[in-house]
Amino acid sequence: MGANTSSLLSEEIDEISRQADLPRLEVKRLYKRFQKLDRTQSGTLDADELLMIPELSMNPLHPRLLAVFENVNFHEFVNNIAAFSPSGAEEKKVDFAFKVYDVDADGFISKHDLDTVIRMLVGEHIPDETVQEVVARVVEAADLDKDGRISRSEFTSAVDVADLASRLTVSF
Amino acid sequence: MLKFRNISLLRRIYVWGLGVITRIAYGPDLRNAASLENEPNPDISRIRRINSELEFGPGVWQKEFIQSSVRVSHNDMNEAFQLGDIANFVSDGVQAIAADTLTACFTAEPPDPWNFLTRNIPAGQWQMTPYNTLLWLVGIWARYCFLLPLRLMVIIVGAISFSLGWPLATLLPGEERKRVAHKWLLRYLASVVVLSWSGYVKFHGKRPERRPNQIYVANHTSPIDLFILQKDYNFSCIGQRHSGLAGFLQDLLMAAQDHVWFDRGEAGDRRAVIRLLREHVADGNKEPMLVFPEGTCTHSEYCIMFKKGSFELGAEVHPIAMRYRRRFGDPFWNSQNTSFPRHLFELMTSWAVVCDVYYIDPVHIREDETAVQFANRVKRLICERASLVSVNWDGFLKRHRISPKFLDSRQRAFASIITRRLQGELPRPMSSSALAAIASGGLAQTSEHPLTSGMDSLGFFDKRMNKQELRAPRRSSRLYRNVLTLRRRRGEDADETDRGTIGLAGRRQRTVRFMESTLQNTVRWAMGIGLFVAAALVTDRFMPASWKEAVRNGLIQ
Repeated sequence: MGANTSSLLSEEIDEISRQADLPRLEVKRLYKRFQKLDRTQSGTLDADELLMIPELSMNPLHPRLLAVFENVNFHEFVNNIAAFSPSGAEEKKVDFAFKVYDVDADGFISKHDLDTVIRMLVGEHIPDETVQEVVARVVEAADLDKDGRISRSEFTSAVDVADLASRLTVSF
Repeated sequence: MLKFRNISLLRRIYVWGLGVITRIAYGPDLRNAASLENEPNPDISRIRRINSELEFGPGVWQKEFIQSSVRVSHNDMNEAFQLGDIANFVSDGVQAIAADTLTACFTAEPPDPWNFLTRNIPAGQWQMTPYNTLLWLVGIWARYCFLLPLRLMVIIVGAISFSLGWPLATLLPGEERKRVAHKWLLRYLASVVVLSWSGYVKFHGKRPERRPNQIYVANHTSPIDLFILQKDYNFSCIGQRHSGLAGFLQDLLMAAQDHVWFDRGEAGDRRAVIRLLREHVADGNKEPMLVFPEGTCTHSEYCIMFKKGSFELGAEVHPIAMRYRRRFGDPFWNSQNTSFPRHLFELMTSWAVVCDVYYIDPVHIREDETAVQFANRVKRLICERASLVSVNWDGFLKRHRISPKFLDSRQRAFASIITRRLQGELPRPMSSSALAAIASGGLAQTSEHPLTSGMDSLGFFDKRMNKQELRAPRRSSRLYRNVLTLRRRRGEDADETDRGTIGLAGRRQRTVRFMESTLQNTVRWAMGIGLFVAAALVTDRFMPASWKEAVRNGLIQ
């Protein structure tokens, strides 16, 4: 991708805006944003570029967000962000939250996944046993078929979907 | 002499004329745009949270952010961690990726289109209607064919007279007289440069007086700040060594006055700079030192963190607040993608640079205050006076990654919540849907907003921001403006229909309104076409015959 907005063709904008269900204006604004973040003009965002955003760098969950946003092109970038728009489907938002937990991307939240995520959130400030205890309690409460991990459908019934979706909404 | 510094009759008429023309040209839209122009609408609550976190640690962040994130969804009041607890972290992170508050301080948000400056209009945000195109053509003609040559001439004449005057002044008898003449010449050169962008500067407050042990600090938008201040008083400055044209100007200034230019790359420089600064400030014979403690150019509506260096000297601090009005040109220098000559060129082809400069009464460091707190206090004074949005980011973050200690303190804050919850000390607040369920069951609760205390008692924001937060929902400013304008228009329409139902009087009013708008459109078009024809006639009158011939030949072939 080139150095200015004009390199994004009008048809491309139309297509992206239709797919992501965002207004054209927002797609253009996000394109400018994408170019600003893409310091090396490589067409994709790498971890170093993303971590230059101090607010992201400060976010305890940044490794998980990087996993979603790293090495994506503009198209995927918009799709990822569009899930958070006020008009985004609840389904997509819950999906995103699930993906954040699912560290090894096997479609299930295992105890190990959850341990990793909670460890990110609290750093070294809580002893291992306590984290394991917390993990065990969360999994026990959500794991309906007792296989020791949380599936996508168990996740949906464990969280308050309406509340989660409303909080996974961003005005951008 | 001092009393006359704000009198610039021609420029005042010029800026006033520009205002009148835009008002006629863009009609009522201007009113909305103009009243919005002075109120930036960034994501205020987010900036508040970040500011407090950067200044005081994650206390407020913990209260406002995590606690609202850690809500009970079912009946597990005491559950230490729930799957929904990551929601605020995730949305905060995505928001940061989509638009962050640091970048906002360094991004030139384009001025509204009614200033005829199309190069600042982002694609797709403004429709080029035939009428706008007409005005735009006239604007281009006026800016490039009329203002630019005139301004170049001003610069050339000014530079020649300056370089003639300088050696002449050296011939003057007596050291003191020589010094005064040189100072006057430098101020003269600065005014010439300011004139070259039709700089319309208003100074408020008392003009500086030199005493030992004083230091001036100002917010920083562009190197042109320096010319504007230099025009009023001879300051010494401290700054990064530039190359190219900016470097040449620095050398020129250095030849005439005492300045401190340093190189950020050199490690040993830092200590030497502080020593030089200290010596300079203490020496009453040198010009007062002017520092831009932000350390980098910031967009004209924001003010970022003040570095503490100039506040630890124990000197009397004189804050200077500078506020640019971006109506007729954007003064922000984005050094990352614009070179300095290009920046000057853009200013010279803009309509005007309109700026207010406020000299604020000097302040001293309090006994119980650290340099950082003092710096923040001075910054607050400046932000309040110039109506800037105060953001606590360090300018250093523009090029470097933030220290991991902030991440660590957030983790510690979240860990402490989990620990307290495990010990059953911290009940969870209700989630919105749980609350809704209760409310629909007839048990409507009046819950106090958990965040109202705390921050405000710290008195940490200027009042303006509080007011704005009440008024403005979270929105990126550009989008928000559009929404607001739309809303206002709709509001006006609603009024009209209300009045319309009254009957005959309403119908008459509608007729009057229709006539008014027709008249307005006629005047607008007449003015547009008039300006265009005038431009064409002037071009025809002054264009050399040989050029005309060339154009004619070009057209025929």
